[in-house]
Amino acid sequence: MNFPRKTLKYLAVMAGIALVAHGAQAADRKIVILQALTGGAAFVGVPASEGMKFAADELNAKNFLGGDKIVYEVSDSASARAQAMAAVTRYAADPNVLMILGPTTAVEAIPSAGVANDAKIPMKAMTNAIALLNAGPWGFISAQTPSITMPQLGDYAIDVAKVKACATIRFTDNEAYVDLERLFVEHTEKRGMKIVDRTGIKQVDSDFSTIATRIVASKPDCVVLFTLGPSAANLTIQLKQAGLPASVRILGQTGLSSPQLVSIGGAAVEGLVFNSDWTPGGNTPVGKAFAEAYKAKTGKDADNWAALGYSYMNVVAHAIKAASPNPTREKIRDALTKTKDVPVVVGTGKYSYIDRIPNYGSIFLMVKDGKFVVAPQ
Amino acid sequence: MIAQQLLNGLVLGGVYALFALGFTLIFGIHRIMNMAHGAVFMSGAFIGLFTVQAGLPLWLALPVAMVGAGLISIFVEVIAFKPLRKLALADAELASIISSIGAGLIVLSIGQYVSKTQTLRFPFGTVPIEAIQVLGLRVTMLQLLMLGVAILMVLLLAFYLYRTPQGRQIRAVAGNYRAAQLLGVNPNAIFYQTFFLSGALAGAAGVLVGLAFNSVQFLMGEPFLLKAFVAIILGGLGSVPGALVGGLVLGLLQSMSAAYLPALMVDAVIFIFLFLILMVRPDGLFVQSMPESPTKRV
Repeated sequence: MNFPRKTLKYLAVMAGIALVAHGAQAADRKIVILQALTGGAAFVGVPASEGMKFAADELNAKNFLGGDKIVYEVSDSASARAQAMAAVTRYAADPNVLMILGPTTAVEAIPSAGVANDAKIPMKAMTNAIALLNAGPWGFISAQTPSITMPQLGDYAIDVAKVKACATIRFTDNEAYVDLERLFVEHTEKRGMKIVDRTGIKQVDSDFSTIATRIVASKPDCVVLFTLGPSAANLTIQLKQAGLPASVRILGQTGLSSPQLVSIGGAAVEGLVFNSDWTPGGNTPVGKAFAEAYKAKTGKDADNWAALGYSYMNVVAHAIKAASPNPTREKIRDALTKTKDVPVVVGTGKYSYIDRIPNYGSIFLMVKDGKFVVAPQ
Repeated sequence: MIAQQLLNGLVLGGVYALFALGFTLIFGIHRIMNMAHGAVFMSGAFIGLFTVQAGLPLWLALPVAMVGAGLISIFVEVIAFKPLRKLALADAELASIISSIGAGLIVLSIGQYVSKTQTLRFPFGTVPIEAIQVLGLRVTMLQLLMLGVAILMVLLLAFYLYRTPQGRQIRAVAGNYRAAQLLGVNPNAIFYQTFFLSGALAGAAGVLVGLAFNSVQFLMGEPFLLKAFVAIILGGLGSVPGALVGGLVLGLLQSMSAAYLPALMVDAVIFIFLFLILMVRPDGLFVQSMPESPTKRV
């Protein structure tokens, strides 16, 4: 078949234009939000995933990636390690997926990190379990490690709350909380604090009457809770029912930063102090803007997990931007490793990785009149 | 502290007993493990909670929850067990466990959807939570309520089973299904009755646990289901008095272990004790004769 020379020239020019146009076309940067949407950790995974989606939508609306779009797929790890590992395997096989934001807990994330490293896909889990990093360079933790936050909590107990003899209660079925408690005890004992009792509960437990009686009998001047908000609320109520004097300080860590602490604990949790990533309503201009926009869009107040999810998606977006114009999994992994002072809404407002260990500072909150307010520092 | 821990254990054991009674009742009649019992227990707590939130008093919420949980239990019987009665016994036993797990998951999923995976609680003030001192022990109104309701339920169940014509029919079916049928007992009516009773007991236990431990959430039945297994094996499979005693022993054992041993050892102690009992009395503390299963003849 013969075409006239003019027609061929015309076709060649059109093809060239089409090629250039295609090259300049906005690209989709696909992220998988793999969170515990069901199961025991869903109260973390659901708000965290909402914060992540909110951040991605906001960044897209602002053309943060210069016309490229963050496209996300939300997947449920069901709070189960097997399902999380299967999901990481599945998404790693999809070449369009640049990275995985999740899973939620240490229980899911540590074994999943092995899968992510084998498949060479960046995986930024919610947890702060440092053991995840041992699997290789493709796994990242997102929350600050206990080695940073627990000495802060211990110092607060000794220097600000002025307590000398504490009892601790931890989740025994979550490695991260076991680690938190151990580091707190190690730090405070070195500083001369006496630990009068150390006991544990499971995440689904609700009867703490026996433990409460035991703790009260050990006569502490503080009780430190290494649990999540709903369990901490019930522990506090049952401790007080068992006769814990009102003068005994109750302290905790980031896991308590949930509206359910107050909705379930009521008056019993008044005065409870915990170190937190997120200040309800925000404590910086960026945080306040997020709190208002999130409430306007979802009708809900942003909690600690939503704020963390929002922040982590921002960190990921900065890494994709740094790896652009042609981001690959490897480039994004390298960019994440070099994350420095990314604006976030948690802690003191700047997120950095130092040797893949996140650092963003923390604040202390207390329950006052049913609300979280900044505690005396 | 020992006396206080014994009281804690007694109260907890009362709830275990209430939960285990419903579980063992079904096993005693049908020779099947109802793995959906934990979900029925959870549904009772949710129904009780929503009834109180709707403005009705607790004394009314408790029977409403019992009736609701009883009906859900019948639903489990209809979808999970009834279709399997045509199978041979060996097949039916395994199939009924699997199908009841499935039915339980349906109820759990509904609970999760309704609660949005949140831990809920009865409104503050539903029952006074302040403790009073009795003989040096701290006792709350809730603990007294739990013990009182547990005792009342056991007495009502005993009355129903041993002093009413319906109860006699249930015991007749449990003792000899074929003979009971020849004497005109309607087996479907017995099945529905036992599932209703079982669900009602679980529903009452769910409300009490939700009130006492300030927590209503969709997974609340799971730890109780495992403990109920221990209680009924300890007491003797299918034995009503056995479930009662097994539940109380279990509650006391758990309390004393948690009080004096490291937290991680509590479950180990419970199961070591169970194995020791089974070595001495393989049929449990209350030996129960094993009537033929109805599942192989219908």
